[in-house]
Amino acid sequence: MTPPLVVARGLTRRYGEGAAQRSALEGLELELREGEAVLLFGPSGSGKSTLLALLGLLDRQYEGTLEVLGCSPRDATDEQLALLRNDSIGFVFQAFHLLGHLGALDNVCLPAVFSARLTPELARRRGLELLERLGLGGREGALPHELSGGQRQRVAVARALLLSPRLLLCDEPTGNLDSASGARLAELLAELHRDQATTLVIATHDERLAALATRRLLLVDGRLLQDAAA
Amino acid sequence: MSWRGLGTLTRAELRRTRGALSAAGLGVLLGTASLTFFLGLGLGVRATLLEQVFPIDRVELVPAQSEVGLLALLGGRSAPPGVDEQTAEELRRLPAVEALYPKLMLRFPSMARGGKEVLGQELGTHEMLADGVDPELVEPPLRARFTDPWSAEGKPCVTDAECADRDYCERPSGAATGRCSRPVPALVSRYLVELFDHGVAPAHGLPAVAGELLSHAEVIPFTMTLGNSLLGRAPQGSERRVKLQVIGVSPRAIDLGVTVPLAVARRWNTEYAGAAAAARSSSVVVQLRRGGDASRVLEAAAARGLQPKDTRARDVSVLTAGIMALLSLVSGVILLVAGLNIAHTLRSLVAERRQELALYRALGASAALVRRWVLALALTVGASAGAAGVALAWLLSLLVDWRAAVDLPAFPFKPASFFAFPPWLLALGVGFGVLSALLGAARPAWRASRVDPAAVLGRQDG
Repeated sequence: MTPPLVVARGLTRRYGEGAAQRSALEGLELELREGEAVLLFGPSGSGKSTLLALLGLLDRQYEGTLEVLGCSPRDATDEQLALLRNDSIGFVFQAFHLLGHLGALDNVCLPAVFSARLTPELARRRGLELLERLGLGGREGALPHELSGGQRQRVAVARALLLSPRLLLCDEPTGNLDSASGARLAELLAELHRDQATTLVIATHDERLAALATRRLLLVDGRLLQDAAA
Repeated sequence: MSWRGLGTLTRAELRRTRGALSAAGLGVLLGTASLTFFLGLGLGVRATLLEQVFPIDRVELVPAQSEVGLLALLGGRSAPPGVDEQTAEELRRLPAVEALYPKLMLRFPSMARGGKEVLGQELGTHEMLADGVDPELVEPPLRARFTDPWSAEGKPCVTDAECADRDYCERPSGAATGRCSRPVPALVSRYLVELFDHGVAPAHGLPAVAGELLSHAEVIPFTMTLGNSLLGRAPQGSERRVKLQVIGVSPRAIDLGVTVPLAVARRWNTEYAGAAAAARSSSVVVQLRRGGDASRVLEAAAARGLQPKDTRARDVSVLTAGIMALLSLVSGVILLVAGLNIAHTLRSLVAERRQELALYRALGASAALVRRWVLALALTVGASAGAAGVALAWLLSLLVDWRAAVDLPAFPFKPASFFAFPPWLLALGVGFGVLSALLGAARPAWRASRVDPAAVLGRQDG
C-alpha cells in the first residue's frame, strides 16, 4: 500500500485572538491516498477553503500535525514549500484568477516561470497540448476577457495541470459557471482523474461533481462529520 | 528559486508599468545628474585651483615669525632670517619629500621701469620686490631660458651702448669694467597679471596684458635699478641699472614682484647686502610625494623653526571641499525625495498587484522571490535613471564648457574644462541612483513578500 499523500492528526486552525477567536477547523483527522478523488461538502463557513489552504501549503498557522507529500509545512522553509507547491500541487479557484494582461497560453505557462523543470519552449508546447485537450485549441492568444466563464475555468485547469501535479486542489470550480459549463467541467475533471490518476480534492456544493468522487467528506463548523466512500 | 523566472517577471512588469516607473525614475535621474554635475564641477575647479593656482602638493617654508622678530631685535641687520643648508638637507631627506628648492629674496632696495613695448608708455615702481628661485623649480618650457646670463661669456664693456641692441653692460659695484650680458630672465605670477589687468590697467586707461604675456611674453623688457629705492639706499654697493626680460607667467613666481634665477639673486645680494645675505635661503619650496603628506612635513619643519608661508592651498582645499559637501547634500536631498517617490510608486504597485502576487505565491513563488522581484524593479529603475543622470551631467558639462569657451575671455587660470569626471565619480552617480531606488523599494518589497495567498485567493469563508 502506498503511503498516504496527506496525513492530518488533530488539525485545528483558529483565526483571531482572545474573545474574538474562532475555529475554522477543529481536531480534524484525515488521510488521503494517491489517486483518490475527494469531494469536500459543507455549508459556507464550514472550513472547506481553510482545509484546502492548509493542504495547498499556503497556510502554516495550525495546531496538531499535518503532512502533505511527506512535508510538514510548519517545519519546512518558505522556499521548500514554494518548490513543493510549484512542483506537485495544482490549484483551481472559483474566481479563476487569470492575469488579465496575458493571453490564455501565457496564463497556462505561468507556473513554469517559477520552475526549473520546463524550459519556456517545452512549457509552451505542453501548454498548447493542454489547451487543445481542454477544447481551447486556437484560443491560445485570447485574453481572459475575450473568453467565456467556462473557457476561463478550463484555462485555469490547464494552468493547474501544466507541471503534472500529484495533488489537484479545486475550490468551488463550478461556482462561477452556468450549468452547461459546470457540467462540462465536471466531465473534464472526471476524465483527468480517470486518465492520469491525479489525486483530486474538490471543495464544492455542486452535486454534479459527485459522480467523479471516490470519497465524500462532510465538514460542518470545522468538524469532519462524515467520511465515506462514494 | 529561478533567476530566469525573476527576469521574466521583471521584464514583463517593466513593460506593463513603464509609465509609472519612468516617472518614478525621473527623480533619481535628476538627483544623480545634479550630484554628478556638482561633484564633477567641484573636482574640476579644485584640480585647477590646487594644481595650478595654489598647489597643495608643494609647500613653501619660511622662518617662523617669532624667530624673525627676535633676530631683528637682537641682531639688527647682521643676521637675516633664513634657512641654512643643513636644515634644507634634513628636510630633503624626509620620506614625504620629493624635492626641495631654495628661494632667495633680494635683500636690498630696488626700483623698476618698463612696459612701453606693450602698454605704449612706461610704467614704474619705486619699490621692486624680487625672489630668486632654483631653475629646477620652474616648469620645463621656461626652464631652459631661466638661467643666469652672467655665466655666459660676454664682451668687456663700461656702458650699455657698447653692447648689442637688447643686451646691457653688467658692471658689478666697484668693478672698472663689466661685460655685455643678455637681459636677466624674469617670471611674473598670474596673480600679478590679473591684478594689473583688472586693477591697474582700467585705472590708468592701459590695455590688458594677459593675452600678450600668455602668447609672447618676450616682448616685455624692463629696467631695474639696483641698490636704491624710494625708501632708501642699500648699505653697500653702488646704484646701477640692469635689464630684465619677462619670459613668461609661472605659478612658481612670487605674487607681487618678479622672480629671477637663484644665482642672480645670490650675486646681487652679495653685492648689495653682503655675503651673509646670500648664504642662507630666505625660504625653501618642498615638493611633496603626495598632497596628503603635508602635515608630516609641516611637523618636521615646525621642529626646525619653519612654518608655511602661505596657507591658501589648505584654505582653498577646505573651502572647495565644503562647497562640494553642501552641493552633494542638496543632491542627496533630491535623491532622498526620489527614493520616497519610488517608494510611493512601488507601494501603489504592490497594492494593485496583491491578487497577482498571491497567485504567484500559490503557483510556486517564494516570499523571497517576490521580494527580489520588487527590488529588481527598483534596481532596474535606479540603474537606468542613474546612468541617464550621469550621462545628462556629462552633457551639461560639455554645454557649460562650450559656453565658457565662447563667452568668457581668456584669463590666466581658465581651464579647458571646468569639470573632472573620474571613473569613480561615474560609478558613484549610478551607485547613488541604485541606492536611493533600493532604499525606496525596501518596504514595498517587504510588504509584497507578506501578501497572504490563502487570504487573498480564498473565499475567506473559513
